[in-house]
Amino acid sequence: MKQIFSSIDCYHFGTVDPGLLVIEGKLVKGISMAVAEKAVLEEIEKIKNEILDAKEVQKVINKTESVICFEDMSIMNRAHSLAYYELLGDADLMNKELGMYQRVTPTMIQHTAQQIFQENNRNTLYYYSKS
Amino acid sequence: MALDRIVAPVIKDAIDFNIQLKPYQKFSLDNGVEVYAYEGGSQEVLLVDMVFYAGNSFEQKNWVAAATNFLLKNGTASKTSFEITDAFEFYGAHLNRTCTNETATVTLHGLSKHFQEVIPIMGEIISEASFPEKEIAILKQNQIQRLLLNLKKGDFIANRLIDEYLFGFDHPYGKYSVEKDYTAINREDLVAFYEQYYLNGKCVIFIAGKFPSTMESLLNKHIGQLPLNKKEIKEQAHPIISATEKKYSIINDAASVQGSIRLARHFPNRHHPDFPAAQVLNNIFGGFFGSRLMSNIREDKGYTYGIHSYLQNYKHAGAWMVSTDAGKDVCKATIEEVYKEMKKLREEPVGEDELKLVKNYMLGALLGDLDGPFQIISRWKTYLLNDLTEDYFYNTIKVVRSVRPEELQALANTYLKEEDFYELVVY
Repeated sequence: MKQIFSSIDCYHFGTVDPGLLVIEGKLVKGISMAVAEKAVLEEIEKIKNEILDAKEVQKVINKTESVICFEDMSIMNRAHSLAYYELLGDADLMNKELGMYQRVTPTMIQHTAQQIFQENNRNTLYYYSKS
Repeated sequence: MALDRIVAPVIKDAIDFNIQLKPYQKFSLDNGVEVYAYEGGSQEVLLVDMVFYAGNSFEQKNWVAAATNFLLKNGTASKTSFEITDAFEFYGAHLNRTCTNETATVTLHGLSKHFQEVIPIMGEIISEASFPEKEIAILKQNQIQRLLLNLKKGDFIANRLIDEYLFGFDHPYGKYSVEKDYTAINREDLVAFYEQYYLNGKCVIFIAGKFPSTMESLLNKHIGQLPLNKKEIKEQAHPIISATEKKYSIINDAASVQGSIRLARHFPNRHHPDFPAAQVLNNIFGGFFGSRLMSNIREDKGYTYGIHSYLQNYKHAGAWMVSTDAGKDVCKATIEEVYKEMKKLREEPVGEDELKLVKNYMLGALLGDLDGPFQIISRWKTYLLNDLTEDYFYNTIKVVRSVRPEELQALANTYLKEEDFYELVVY
């Protein structure tokens, strides 16, 4: 809507040990880094301060459930999942994972956002093109 | 069953398995639409495939069938394209569509427990698609852009031309779209095609996975009341007009560093008795990573990263095709090597070890391909739409298991003859 970024993503590393959460975006030509960063921080503040719409959260949970179910359709993937959960410490996590997602509420997301998105926990890199 | 985890499982050759294709259940909806169902699998998911006789062999103007199929979910009487996508997404479901020569498909993947929420939207798309002008304009623009980009690529050109040589430009298997086909399409074309081949069309449904107890009644409520299968949809016969000239060399981009090579000959469809054994021969020739074409032309000569041969099995006709991209200066040598490999197959019987390896590979691939309910229904779908029965499945396995080197040599002498092949290089 504001057309600050031509593309922007938020992802975490999904590593076994604690990893990173990254927000990564490419700026529309002519937008300054400071303006772009401020826009991202505003969105982060919203997630910390406003409770998410339950329907929006439900949609993400449904999508996650769908991904988990479809992932385990083939014997190959089931073997892979079992081995991976056993590596994490408990093969039975395979049966519990979905439940963990289903129990997520908008309030839990807000709490987590408040824990993770702290000013002193953030590093920012500006990466410019040559021209 | 208690497993002794100290001892590794015994390795069993794929060829020794007793491979079975599990049967489907069949029922009809109120409007006569036939439903082929396979219930099974470990996950609470299902797939619904609505197959319409609406492929590009039914269109009068190029691209109408594909565009209609694509735009089905881009707007209905009461929902925008965005709202439709969002409605499926909310329940973790996906709606895909594909258009092929004879049929066009609308496919729903989703969680079994949300079937009752998403099947009405699928019904809505079939019965109330609205083809908004805005969506048509976006599709046309994207399609033209994609075409202009693709026309710079040799392999894209080669794929189009080889089909045209084999089947003729006026045949559904040989035709392709050019820019003015896209601009020439208007909303009336799409609506007319939709009304004839979807709204009042002929449809078959395939469904697989875990079914909610209300599956049959929900299908009946949302699909079974539509005016489908009322009128007969005739498949038109299209004559094959092959090119008389067999050899082509085309310069698409003078600066290109490689050429796209296609060698192809006509080959019968799956109903021909030679088909299963030809598949074995094809695998030895160029059908898998350890094939002769790959070993010779990639591994030994280093002319290409990959070279493949395959039987293009359309419903009514087919082709035996060799396809690769090679360095510009070695295209000629590559073609010569392909012909040398054909000659070897004609003159020398295949060794027992190589044959056993390929048999195991093929049956192992088949086993892997029958993993799960979606794969099983997909195989049934291929058979049923091509007028084949389970006999085809069991006969193919029987032939793969038992075919002898001298039978393959005889086949090579029938089909792998240099003079029968169309030969094309696009630089």
